[in-house]
Amino acid sequence: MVDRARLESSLYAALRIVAGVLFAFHGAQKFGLFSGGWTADVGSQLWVGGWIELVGGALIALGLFARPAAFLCAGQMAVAYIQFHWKLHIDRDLLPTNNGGEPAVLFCFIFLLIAARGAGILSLDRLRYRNGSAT
Amino acid sequence: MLDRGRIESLTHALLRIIAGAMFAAHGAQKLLGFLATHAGPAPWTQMWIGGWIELVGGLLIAAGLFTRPAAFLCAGQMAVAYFQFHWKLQMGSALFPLANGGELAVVYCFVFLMFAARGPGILSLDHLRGRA
Repeated sequence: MVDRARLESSLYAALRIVAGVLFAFHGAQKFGLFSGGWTADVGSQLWVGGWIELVGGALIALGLFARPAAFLCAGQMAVAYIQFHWKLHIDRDLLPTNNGGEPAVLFCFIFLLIAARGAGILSLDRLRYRNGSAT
Repeated sequence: MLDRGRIESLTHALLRIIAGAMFAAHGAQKLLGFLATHAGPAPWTQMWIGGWIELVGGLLIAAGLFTRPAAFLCAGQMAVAYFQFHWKLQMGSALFPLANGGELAVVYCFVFLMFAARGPGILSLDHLRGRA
């Protein structure tokens, strides 16, 4: 039988992996994937953001150095939300659903959770623990 | 005071509340025209029912009341929405949430699945009721 704790750990791992992969795709999009030919200018803020998303998302999905990667990505999403979506509006655009920032908010809080909780099962960090290295 | 376990519990609660509230906002837009940008669906259509699931389910999840069943239902709704409105079983680039516009549905689905298994945690009405 599947016990509740194991189920919860597995679903947490599923969330971590899915969120990491989707986030990495966002990074790749800034370098041309599914972007209709557009790429971010090298050295621009968007370009730096793309690298954070691509590498950070991959690390989170693999569960490798998940805590610091997730913390960095959460911070990036907070900046992105305020700078590109909310822009301090007090009107209809207060709502993430309307200002397009809903994914940014969701990713931010998911990654904050991962930063606090750690990679969990199905992760490379797990293997590092077994070999005796600390987080 | 703020030890690692407590921080972890807090981040779970924050995610649960924020995800539930934003989800409920979707339903409120469809049904109540709350900060809506276009007209809502007609009563008793699939979108309208979806709106009620989002509004009520989202509020229950945000409040942490009957969290497990509410989260499970909302996760299921997102899975249906993803298959029906985004992926539509297409092959090629439409396989990817980034291309088919279904990213939000996927993320909500997995967030709610996790909470369905985990339960409400702290800062929830279920917690006050004794974690029923």
